[in-house]
Amino acid sequence: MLFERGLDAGMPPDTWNLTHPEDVKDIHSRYVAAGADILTTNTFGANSIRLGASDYSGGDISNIIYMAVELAASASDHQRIAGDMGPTGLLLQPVGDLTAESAYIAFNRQAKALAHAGIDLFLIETFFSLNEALLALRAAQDSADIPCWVSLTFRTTRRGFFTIHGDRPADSMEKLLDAGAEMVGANCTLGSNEMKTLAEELAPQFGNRLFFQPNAGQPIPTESGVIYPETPEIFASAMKSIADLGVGAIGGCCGSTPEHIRELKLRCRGNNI
Amino acid sequence: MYQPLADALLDGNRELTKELVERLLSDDISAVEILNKTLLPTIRHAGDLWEEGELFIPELMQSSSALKGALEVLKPLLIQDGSGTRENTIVIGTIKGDIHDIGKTLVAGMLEASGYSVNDLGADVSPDRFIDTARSRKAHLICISALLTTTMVNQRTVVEKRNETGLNDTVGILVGGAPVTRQWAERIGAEGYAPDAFSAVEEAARVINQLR
Repeated sequence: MLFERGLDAGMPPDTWNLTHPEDVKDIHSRYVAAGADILTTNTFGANSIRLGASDYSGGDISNIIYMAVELAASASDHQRIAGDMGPTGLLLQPVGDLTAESAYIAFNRQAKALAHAGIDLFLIETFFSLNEALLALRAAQDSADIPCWVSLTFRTTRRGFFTIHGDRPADSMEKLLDAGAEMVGANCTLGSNEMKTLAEELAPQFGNRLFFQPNAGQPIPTESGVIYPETPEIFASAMKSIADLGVGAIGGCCGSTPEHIRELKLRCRGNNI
Repeated sequence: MYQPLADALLDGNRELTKELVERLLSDDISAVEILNKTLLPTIRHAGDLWEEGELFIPELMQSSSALKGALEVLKPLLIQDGSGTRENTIVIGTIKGDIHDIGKTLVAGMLEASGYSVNDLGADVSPDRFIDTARSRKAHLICISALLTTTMVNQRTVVEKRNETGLNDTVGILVGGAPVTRQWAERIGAEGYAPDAFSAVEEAARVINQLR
């Protein structure tokens, strides 16, 4: 939605908390109006490693974070505020060059700023390495006594769902719960129907400890950007099936909009979710 | 296909890969043959294993490193074997936001094998860097790889910048990568498209010839 309002492809969306606060707040307000229960702060990439790799040179990341939380909080009328934490974008040793220590430090700083700014829960999401997610989880837990929700990104292969690093869903959920996550789940890469298949696999074992946020379908590239084909109706229909499995929370990732959430709320009003 | 080399490459054993390449060369197998008959098919097979869910990022990174090791050994010989189009320069890289590089590295190797002077910028390359390098090296072709639908839209940015800086008459653009199609290439105004490393060489020649 920020791209529609003019965000450049190379610019970190997090910077818009400072440069276009009205746009960010407006998006939060539209989600409130659509019936969302939890608002996610615009801080997905607001860690020193990810911002360090971008063109951002605007100074202190904590300014971005404080503003992000402030904007979400000001749009909220009793919705909970989730502090969004995404991956570093680098590969941990031994596969890549990133040390566990550097990753921990970056996540811990981000988490402390989020906690200080006043979030209700940490949303550690879109991680494609279980190891990196566990690091981010620990960093968040060490920063404050606030619930942590952790979500990984899986892809479909002929042998089943895996992260790109080869982590399997059930095993990953177990490890994250053992490490103290309050809720665990999956987001991104998968469209709502594929996510439903994954949810069916995990629900018997993990039930209401699960949360899912699929994409609104597989992205289709166009000259003006990427479009996501699932309409609110198609999306909500699959999400209703996921809700019926007894999971704890649902939402949307890439391509989903307030309209998708509104439709979702409508369809799931009978569910305790 | 020399199986021990294929295995070493798939296992991501860089040292063994290099050793076996040296051994084949000393047995008078040509650099081009090693590339075409063993390295390329093995990387293609690795791609199939990725789709299967048998191979993941850690293994792919190791194989990529082993492939680069093999190309290090082969490069001076590929340049020697090349048919003398050495005066044509190509800039190649994976677009910004994307770290996938095995396919791109292979294409770079194939182009080098065919006698082009190749500048491999690596992965996560910004549109500006493609254009600046093409300009400073007086390149004839820019090859852009993208493996993600979300990053491939930036291939269009490179085309736009190329046109804005008035290089359209002297530098062609060829795009590739799993989600990329010929229709996409046409829509964004790129002159060339190649579905794999084999056809990239022919397509590169076609685009460069069209510039003249």
